[in-house]
Amino acid sequence: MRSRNISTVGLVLVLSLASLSFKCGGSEPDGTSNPLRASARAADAIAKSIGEMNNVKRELARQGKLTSAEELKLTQQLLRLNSADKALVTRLKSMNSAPDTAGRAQLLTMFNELTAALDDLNTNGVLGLSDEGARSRLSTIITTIRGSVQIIQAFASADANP
Amino acid sequence: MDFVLLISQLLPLISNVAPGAGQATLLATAAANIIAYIQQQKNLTTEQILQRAGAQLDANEIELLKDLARLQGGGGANPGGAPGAGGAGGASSPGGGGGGL
Repeated sequence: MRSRNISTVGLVLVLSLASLSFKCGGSEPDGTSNPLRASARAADAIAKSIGEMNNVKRELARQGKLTSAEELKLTQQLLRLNSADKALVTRLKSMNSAPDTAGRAQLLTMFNELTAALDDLNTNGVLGLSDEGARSRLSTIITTIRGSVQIIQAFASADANP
Repeated sequence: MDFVLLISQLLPLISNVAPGAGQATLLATAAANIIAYIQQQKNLTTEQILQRAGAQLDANEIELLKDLARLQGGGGANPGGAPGAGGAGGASSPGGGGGGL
């Protein structure tokens, strides 16, 4: 009887946590998706990826897989990407609903800077690295960032072409 | 000239410039060069300088600025190593080292 009670309490706990995880996602309680919240979360995820990429960059430099010039260039490009992402995070978190035309244009400008910074990091930074292993490790993180960018893009251009 | 005061006025601009054309990177490069100069002159770490300047930066900006100061001011010694520790050294003047944007 006692073990049955414990099982019931455990089940309730698991279900509560599962319910909480749904609430923390980009979905509303009624199951519909919330593109604004999903975009804000994606922009946050990009910030985390930038931090991770900086750590990997340092590690690669310590291992002698990056030259100082390569590390400096990557650092500058990461800083540009971080600034673009930070502006987008701030904008998205200040919004309560889908933006009007002017707000949408502003959002698109920020999004374009984000993608330009990411392309610069990839094309002129990561893909130009002399060490293949370093290229591969950093490219993996860029792929992750691109996944988040797609989520933001879906929101930023949603009403532009209804 | 009070370079810590200069840094305190320059750093907020990094977060507040309008996105586009890498202006934040340009300002950060200038800030990193000045930080490297202060490190050399006053034997302070990057953290100490940012703290004295009252900088309101996010975690990524702080870490990236540390790396910029190390790479531009230190001539690349100690690659990927403890940024800011012991000062970068080697920067002869603010703006020295070249960011190469």
